Amino acid sequence: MANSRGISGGFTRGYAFFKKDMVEVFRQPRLLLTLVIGPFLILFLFGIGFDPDPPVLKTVLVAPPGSGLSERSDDLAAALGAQADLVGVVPTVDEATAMIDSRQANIAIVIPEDAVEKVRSGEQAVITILHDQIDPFESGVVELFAVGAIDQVNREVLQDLVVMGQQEAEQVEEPLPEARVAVEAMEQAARSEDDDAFERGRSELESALTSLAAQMGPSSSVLDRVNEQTRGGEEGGGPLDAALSRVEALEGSTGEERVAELERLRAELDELETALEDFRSMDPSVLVSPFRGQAVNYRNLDVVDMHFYIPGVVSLLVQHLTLTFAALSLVKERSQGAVELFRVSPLSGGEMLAGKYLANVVVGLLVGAALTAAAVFAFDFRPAGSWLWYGFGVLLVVLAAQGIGFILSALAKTESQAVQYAMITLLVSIFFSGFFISIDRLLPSVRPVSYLLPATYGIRALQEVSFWGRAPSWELIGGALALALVVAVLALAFMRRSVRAARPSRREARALERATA
Amino acid sequence: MLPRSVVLEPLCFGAGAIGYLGFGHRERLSLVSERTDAIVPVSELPQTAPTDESEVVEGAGAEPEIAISTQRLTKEFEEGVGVFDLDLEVPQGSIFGFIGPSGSGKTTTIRLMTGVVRPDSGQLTVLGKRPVEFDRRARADLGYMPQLSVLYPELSIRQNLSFVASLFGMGWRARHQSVKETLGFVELWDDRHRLLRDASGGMQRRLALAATLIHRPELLFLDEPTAGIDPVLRRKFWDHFLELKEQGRTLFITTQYVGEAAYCDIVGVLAEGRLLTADTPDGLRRQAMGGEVLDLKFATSLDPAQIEELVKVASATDWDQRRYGEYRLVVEDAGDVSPEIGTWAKEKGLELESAEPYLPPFDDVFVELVGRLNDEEPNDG
Repeated sequence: MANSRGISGGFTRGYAFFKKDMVEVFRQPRLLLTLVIGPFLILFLFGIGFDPDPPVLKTVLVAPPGSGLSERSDDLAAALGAQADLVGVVPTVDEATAMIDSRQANIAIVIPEDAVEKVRSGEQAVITILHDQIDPFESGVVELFAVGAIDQVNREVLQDLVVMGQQEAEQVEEPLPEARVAVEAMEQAARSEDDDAFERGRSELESALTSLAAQMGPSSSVLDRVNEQTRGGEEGGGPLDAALSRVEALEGSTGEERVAELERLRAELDELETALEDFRSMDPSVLVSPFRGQAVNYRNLDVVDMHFYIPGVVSLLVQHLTLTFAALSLVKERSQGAVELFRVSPLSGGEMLAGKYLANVVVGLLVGAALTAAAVFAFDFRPAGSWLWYGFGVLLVVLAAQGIGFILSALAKTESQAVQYAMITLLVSIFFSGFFISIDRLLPSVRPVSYLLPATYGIRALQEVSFWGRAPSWELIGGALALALVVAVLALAFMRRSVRAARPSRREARALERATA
Repeated sequence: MLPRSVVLEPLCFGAGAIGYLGFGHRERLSLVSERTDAIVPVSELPQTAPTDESEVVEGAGAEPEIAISTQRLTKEFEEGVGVFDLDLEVPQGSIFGFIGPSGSGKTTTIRLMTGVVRPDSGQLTVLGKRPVEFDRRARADLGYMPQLSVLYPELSIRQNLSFVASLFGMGWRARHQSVKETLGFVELWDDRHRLLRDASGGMQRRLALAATLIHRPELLFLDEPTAGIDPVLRRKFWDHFLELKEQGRTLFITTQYVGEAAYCDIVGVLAEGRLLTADTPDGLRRQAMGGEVLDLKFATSLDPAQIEELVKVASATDWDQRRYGEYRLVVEDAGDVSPEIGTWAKEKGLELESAEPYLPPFDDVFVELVGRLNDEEPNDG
């Protein structure tokens, strides 16, 4: 009656395991709910609890007595920006640290008492940011804030300087017409070849330009930079420096050369006048920070912060659940003694593995579908790409994860040991799969660990489908399938060993062959 | 070498059985004068088992085919633990009972015979093949009922059985038919939809038996099939086993219940991995008691001279006075000597009220047998 051989017999045996495993799983609705709803609740809490914006830092300012900063607290608060909440201005560092210790403040900004003297002596004055963070992420936030805040302070100082320069530029109207008159006189002298008149004109021009340079003071440098950045002027000097150089070059010049130089000089004076006009009319804040950065995603990908983590969470949980199911499935067969029955039956390891693989694929895909459905329902998540490719990404995780699960089951002696191995794999995956930190930030020597994890491929594949709207790359698909194949071969070897009854040793087999011959 | 004593479980072997028998002076009894040979050639064994303890079966018929044969079969797991120098033969169509205390090597023997474990040395053939060379077809001829339930609590009784049928490659139609028949055979058809986790212990054992039979195997290995079930169900199990034997199947059954030896054609007694003896149930009784036991009841008590004369007439190897006028003799053949004793009593003017053969319970037989064989071990060289 038994059909122990043939394809139909093998199919019957494999299908028996598929059906048995499916019935076993679905006969335990509480277990299923725990496995699906539990992870979903984690996802949900993470989603509603995650704040992508950096935290607002309660800030206390340590200002030297008599600096007048206490009175300007509103201005300071505005200067520090939205990331800082100025909670007070105190005169000493001790008071500030006491506030940090009592959690009244997160950070303290210490303005040095000798700031002015330092700057006057050509040194940078150091503004210290005090904090007590030990979390590297939070420390990073504070350091970024410090850079930003100090940058802001520097800009404020520069802006004040620019305003002063613009006010001074209002008063430089007089030397410029004088310079133009001198140029005209020089042109006439050049045409009439009157060297004395030309030299007088040159001297008057030099005097006018020197006077202009003295009146503009530091503003001339700002003016030069504005000219460089806005009009593509050459580095190393503005129109005023160029005019002064040309005046020096005219000394001892003759004939046609003088006329040509004077024409250039006139153009430079026009340019200088235009630059002065620009300088006076420009917004000081633009002059101080003429450029600002703006990152634009040229693919117009607008990913909600919470959505970014959904592929990672789905991949990680599908991997964990599939792997755990696979690991427990075989350990359970072994611990309850069913393997003993299998060994006496005509069952092969391949048939058993095929049936269990199929059952786990279905369970894994259902778990992935349930988690994704929860993400759609709770967070309005929709992949930009095809749902089919999304499902394929989940399938890649399921295929590779269960092979690892079967290998773990061969190593584990008890069900609790199998669960422990599965938890260790989850822990490794959290750190190495790219879930929290990009794989690119890992040392190349450590990255192979990442490539041994199904979640690594799943996260990348689902991100590509979900956000870029394209199919997973062939490198990803190939890598995941290669991993799935390798672990499946290993799992088959382990499974054969588990199910296989005693076999004759090679020596015995050879002796048997000889005897038969 | 056998140890001097074998620890037996009181539950199964009946504590205090020696006292019950009344043979309190072992040094005087010498029930087994020579070490019984553990190897019993099949041709010398009866081919039909008694189904009742009172039934005496004679050997008959042509030499049967051998289902299982072992010669000096040894498997040692660690020092002193395993099966050692096992020699036995199981004829096809018979029930071989393998009796021994827990840890004596019964399950190991089954695992060797089913090919789950490789022997260290010795010869073993099952259905004409070495178990380590079993192919799928050979495996399909075997049925194995493990000692503990290995089926799935979340599956129904029918689903469990259908799963096991699938392991043997049975198609849907054949599976459906066989499941129905087998569940009917073990009286579980009405409970087929019950989940195994909700089934009683007895139902679980019946399902395990059904799982062993589902593919109609030629040779069944049943590892303590009646352990932990009530006497009524045990009896039903043995009815099933005898029915299977009637169908021509061979059954190799291990048990700790020595009383079940009565149902077997041949009984092997195992202790600490060594086969102490293998014989028919009746043969084991004779081995244990040194012959057949005859209870005599006289109207009056006999004097020492009369007792000495009685022993001589009956050719008794041992005797004991149980109560006033009641004597128990160990004789070669109770049926032959009873008339002679009657004649002698008449001649002596003694009133013999009754002369009946006594069949000691197998619990007592095994306690006596194991103790005796162990005691003889040092002299065995």
